[in-house]
Amino acid sequence: MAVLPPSGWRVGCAWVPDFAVQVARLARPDVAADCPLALVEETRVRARVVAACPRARADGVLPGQMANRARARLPSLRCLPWDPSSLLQAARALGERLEAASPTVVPQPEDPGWFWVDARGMRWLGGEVGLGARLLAAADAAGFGALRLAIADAAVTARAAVSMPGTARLRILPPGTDTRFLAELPLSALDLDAELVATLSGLGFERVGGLLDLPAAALEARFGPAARAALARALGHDWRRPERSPAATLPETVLALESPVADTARLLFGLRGGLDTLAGQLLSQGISATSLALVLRLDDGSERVEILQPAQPLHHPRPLFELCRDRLERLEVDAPVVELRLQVRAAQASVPEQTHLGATRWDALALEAVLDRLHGRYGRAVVFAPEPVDDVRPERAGRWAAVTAVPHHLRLIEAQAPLPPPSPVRRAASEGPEPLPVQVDALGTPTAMWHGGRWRPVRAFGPERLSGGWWTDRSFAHEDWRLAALDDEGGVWWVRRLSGEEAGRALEGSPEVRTPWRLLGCWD
Amino acid sequence: MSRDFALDLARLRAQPQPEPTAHPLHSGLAGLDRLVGLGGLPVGRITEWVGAESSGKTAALREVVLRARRRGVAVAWVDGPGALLAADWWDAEATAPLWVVRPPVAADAALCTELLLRTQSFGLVVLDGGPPLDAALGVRLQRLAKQASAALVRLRGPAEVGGRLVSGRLRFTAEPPPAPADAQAARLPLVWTVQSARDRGGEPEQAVFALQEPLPMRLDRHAVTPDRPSTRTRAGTRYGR
Repeated sequence: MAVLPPSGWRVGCAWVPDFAVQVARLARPDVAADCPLALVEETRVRARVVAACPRARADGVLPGQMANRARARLPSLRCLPWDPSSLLQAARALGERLEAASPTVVPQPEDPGWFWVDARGMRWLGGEVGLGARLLAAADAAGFGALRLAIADAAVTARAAVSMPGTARLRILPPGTDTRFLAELPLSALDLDAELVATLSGLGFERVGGLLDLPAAALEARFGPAARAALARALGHDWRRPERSPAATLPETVLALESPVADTARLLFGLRGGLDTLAGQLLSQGISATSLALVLRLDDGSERVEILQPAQPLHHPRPLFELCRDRLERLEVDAPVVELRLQVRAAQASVPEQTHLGATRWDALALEAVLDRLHGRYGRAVVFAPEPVDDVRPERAGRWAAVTAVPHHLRLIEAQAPLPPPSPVRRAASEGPEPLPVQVDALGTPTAMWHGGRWRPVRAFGPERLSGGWWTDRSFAHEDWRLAALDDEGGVWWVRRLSGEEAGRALEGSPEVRTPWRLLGCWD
Repeated sequence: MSRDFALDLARLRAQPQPEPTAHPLHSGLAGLDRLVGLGGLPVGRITEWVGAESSGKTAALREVVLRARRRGVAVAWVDGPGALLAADWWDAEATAPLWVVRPPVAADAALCTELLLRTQSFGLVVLDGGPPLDAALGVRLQRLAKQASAALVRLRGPAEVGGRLVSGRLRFTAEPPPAPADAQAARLPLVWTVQSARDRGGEPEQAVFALQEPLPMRLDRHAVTPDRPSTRTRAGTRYGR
């Protein structure tokens, strides 16, 4: 295999289930232990459940749910505010307590409540059982009696063992048994990409053991390096080690203000220079920030911590600035700010970029930040790009496909194909097709009733007959007209007369919409 | 080579790039480019295009968008009313993308425009709909357009309030198509002329151009024969072209 572990490794994985809820209960002793509890994140427009205790979950309160809906399902539910900064502080404090019982305990900053433990060299200290007992006792003393621990050869095995439901608080897998243990677990136990898990499941691989019989080269050729890595993990080969990450040396920038500032614009002005320095440090270390903490020290002595999670690892000053600006503009604090600190909480090695020496407009990182902001504000369906669709109807001959990712490399070159002659463009009615009462004279020329008035179009062009779909259950047949000067402003309106099944459906509606005519928009 | 003299591409890329050369964006329509000045839409400025429905402003602007995208200039269109049809805006030959942003609340159109300009990735940004540009917003958008070397166009109807700090304003009026002589003529494609005018102190300068409906109309008098039977069109072509 390409990835081989050094021999003699023993890795422990400690986990506090429902860590956020536990932290909230410890911070609020007035909340009864048997009271169903949920943590709620409030934004400007809505409040959503982020975490819930097991009892609340059993009664249908689920993360992602609207808070008022959760309360409706469980009236006795107690809702407390979601505070990620207190979560991190609690994880750090618990890590320090555990470290008293083991030489190396590494908290996972992106996943509070999870810890890696170096379980080697415990022969003269009571062995792994003694280590486990000390760690559990330390957790009990800190108020986290639910902490579980599993020790195995590889990190993936330890994590899978500790997260198995119904497992004992301390579980020790003997050396050399990782592969056998993993074989019976579902593929999701390997920490794989969800898409790869779905693909493999579709091919009949439900358990980890199913992968073991496959040749590594063929697996990599078919599914790429991720599948080979999956096979390595299935064999218990996991390169992750409970070693101290360079968290202490991760860069940060501090903006100490001469006088308290309550104006966001002034904060941003000062932050801009610091971000250039921070980006320079990230570049010199060859890393990109995956998580940042914006710490504001306030004039009243308190501290406010905001966690920033960029959509992708960042090391350029501009997207970092946009990220901070977005948060600061929405932030409400109780007192002026006296110091602002931006810390990189987690980082990863920077991905090599295709660079260029000329100027280009396409800044994928800045666009990524804006796309992230628009999605956060309006949802995923807000930025679109046109796509062709094979349909004869003009309104269906294309569709707006939601843009969810920014292409990093564009060939921004000139095309040489000749342009079509200028032509008018259809604009759809804002409210969708609108029923339009129309009378037709003996010559077949339509006269429209428009907003209570009777308007005779000066000029009617058409009809253009469109039909199709007879081979499906969605057949259509209609006539499109272009009515000019339908109103005082002389617009050219796009009007449609439905026929066949569509007309039948239209005539079944309420009296005011019982007309086969529809106003679809105008030409502009 | 000493490390001091090594070319660090990552650092180079992180440094601010020089502003791209500000070429105007052409529409290709006779007279219109001359009318808006500099042979095309001025970059770094706000231009208002004013006209009623069917006055031809969207068609003229589409010509600018087509040419810009084929020149490798990315375009963003903030579609407040949600009126654009995708089929009219897909272009197989375009090398640069078109992003259409549709905020659920039309009042947020200006905010979206501001965000898009901040990326400095688009050469043309169109603000269609939304509230009028007040002085503060106008100054901000103007400054962002200048920093991004982008042309910013605001489309509005004649009844809406105009922005105060726009650097140019074009008024569009369309000559309605002539009355069809007979039933057969009524099935011919529409051709109408659009007149755009710009006030420059004295007499307004004018430009006239023609727009022709692209649909190929079959002149079959039989009442049940479809004009465009539903056969598969070749993917990658705009309908009728």
